[in-house]
Amino acid sequence: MTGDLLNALSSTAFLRAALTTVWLTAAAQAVGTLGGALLAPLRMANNAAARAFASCYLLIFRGTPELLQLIAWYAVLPLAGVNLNLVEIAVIGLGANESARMVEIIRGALLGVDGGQADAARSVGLTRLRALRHVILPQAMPAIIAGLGNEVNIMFKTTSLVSVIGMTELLGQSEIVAQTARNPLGPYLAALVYYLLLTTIWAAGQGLLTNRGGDVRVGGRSVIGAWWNALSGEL
Amino acid sequence: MEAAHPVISLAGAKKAYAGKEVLKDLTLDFQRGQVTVILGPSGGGKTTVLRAISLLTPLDDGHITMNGALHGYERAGQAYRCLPERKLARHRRGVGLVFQQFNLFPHLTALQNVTLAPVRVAGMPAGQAERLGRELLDRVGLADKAGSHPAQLSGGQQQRVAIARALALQPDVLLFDEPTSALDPERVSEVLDVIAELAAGGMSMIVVSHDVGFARKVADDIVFMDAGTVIDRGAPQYLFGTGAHPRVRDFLGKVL
Amino acid sequence: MFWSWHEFFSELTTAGFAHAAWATLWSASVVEAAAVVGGFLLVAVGRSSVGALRLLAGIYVWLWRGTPLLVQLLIVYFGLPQFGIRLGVIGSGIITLALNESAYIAVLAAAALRAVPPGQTDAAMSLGLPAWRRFRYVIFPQAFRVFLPVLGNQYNAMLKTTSLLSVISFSELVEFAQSQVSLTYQPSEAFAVAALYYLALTLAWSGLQKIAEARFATVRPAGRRLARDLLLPARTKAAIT
Repeated sequence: MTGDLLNALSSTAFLRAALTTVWLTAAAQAVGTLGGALLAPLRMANNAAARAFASCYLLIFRGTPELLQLIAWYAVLPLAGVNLNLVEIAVIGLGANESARMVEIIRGALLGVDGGQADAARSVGLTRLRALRHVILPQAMPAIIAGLGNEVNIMFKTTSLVSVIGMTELLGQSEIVAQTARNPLGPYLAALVYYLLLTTIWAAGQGLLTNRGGDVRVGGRSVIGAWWNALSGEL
Repeated sequence: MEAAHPVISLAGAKKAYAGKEVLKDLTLDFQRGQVTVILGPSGGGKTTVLRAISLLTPLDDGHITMNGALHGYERAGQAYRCLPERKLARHRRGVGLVFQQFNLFPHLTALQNVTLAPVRVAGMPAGQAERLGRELLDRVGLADKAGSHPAQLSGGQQQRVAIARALALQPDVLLFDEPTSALDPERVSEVLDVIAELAAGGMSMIVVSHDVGFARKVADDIVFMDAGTVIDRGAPQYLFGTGAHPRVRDFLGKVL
Repeated sequence: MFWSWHEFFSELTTAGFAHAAWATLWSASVVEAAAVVGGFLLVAVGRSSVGALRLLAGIYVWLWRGTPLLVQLLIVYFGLPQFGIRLGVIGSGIITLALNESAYIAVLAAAALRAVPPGQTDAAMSLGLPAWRRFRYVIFPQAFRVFLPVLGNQYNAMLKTTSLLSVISFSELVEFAQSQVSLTYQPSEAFAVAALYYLALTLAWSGLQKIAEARFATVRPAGRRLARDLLLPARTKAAIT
């Protein structure tokens, strides 16, 4: 088994698969963040139809498992006449789900800003939109970025799901090798090691941006972090 | 008349936080039945003295005695050291502490806040504890609030419950850390009245406060502390008079 | 064909789906319950005075949170039999999910403990309460109140996480939907029904959570320390998984 493990760890195929995981994470997260940024305003809009749409979207994509969504995109799109390759389906599937998660994070960050700020902004005559843009959002940014950092960490692991629809990222690659290996444990452990490396390095990077008190420092300015800052710490 | 032991005595107390000396070789006695108020600028070490006496914060050097016996400290050769945490709980019962931020237990009612220690520390039967609790709450004027939770009480009421809680184990001495600083002005007198009443009843008390009017009215003895040492000490007439140390007059001049 | 209402209603009334939904429900419940036990144990070990024990707890959390659940499942189900450890589909599935979830629960429980204001410990200490009694009567009750809604959110997520068990052929909703598709060649309807079941389960649970929250209105910490972030609505906490 150790032989298989070491072989796998040093194989270029695994390295390429790891890189696939990395850019897939980046792509899915980018799509998700963009989607979340577009949906969040809809969720809080004055227009009832917009709100209803956003709520429906959130209900569907937060209320059902990600795996089910991926499998559904893969199986149903061709039936609707949409023929995309695996990569495109993976990014859409992961991105659509992530959009819903990002809406929650953005909304949570905005709610976390002290209520007195909104009062102060309105008292000097700022409209709801301007208050949001110049007063609330800037103060919510550290929490959004912290949340985003956590989401990337989660996304590294979530990409493993696309192996189920046949894509060759880390887990997919280890499954291919496991078919022919004497002991499937070797390649699976290799995948484990790669994932651990990715998440640990990322978490270390997150740690550099967040000090122990849970404050998020962005660009040198320290702002009190939200509840999930405390959670991203250790035991 | 033989000299009685001071109810609390600090000897050679030293404490530093992160390299900064907060208590500098402090030796201080507190007499039984007296109300001693500790005045002084912030950062002068006043709260640290209270935390040391209530054994919440161990001293780096020096020791504390209560009624002549070592309180929370043991001999280690020529010096003294604080007892390990396990053994300290027993010693803490003799000292009651009332906090600036009340620190009531939010998940318990006022009555439960008061009876928790008698039942879980002193092993008092529940019925007896409840009677004691109601009596104490009545003493602080809150008999009708026994079943209320802290969130339903005003700041002044919470602080009075905190006083009842501190009295429940019948401590030898009661400590107050800025008892009225976190209260709205209208609420201050209800708490000070309770404290004055306890004082009149002969309770030994050490009060850290910057309410100078209170000190003048209720204190038997005033200690002025700054930068970890005692600058001056005496009865109110002395300390507020012209004979006191210049730094004291300086401070009072700014505050009054 | 993309969609057939006839097929949809046929799937909707298939008894097998209801059984699969039940499997999702009970497996999520067993896993979460086991994970709470495991998580609390981890926190206890993580606060031990023995450095080596603390390190072990830290490594456990790092490993189980730092790698994908799917990989963990495959290792336990396909890899362990090499060492003679054959846990079967149900055993492997439940145990792996529980071990994984324990790590997440541990982090959340530790955070809940940290959320109790230090003044509470001071007050309890000043009354002479020794360490264990302080924890039992003052600290734990308050930490638990903060922890409960978070646990509720974790359970909500677990209902969906059980979908991964389909990969080791555990018969829950996703697995059943896939087996239906292999029979009917109509993916849309089967997946739609599965989705509806999931929505029903998670909405029902969210509803219960809201009722419970209203009933046991959180006792707010007295005094100034009314931290807004402690009272963020349950919905936003669901973003943390």
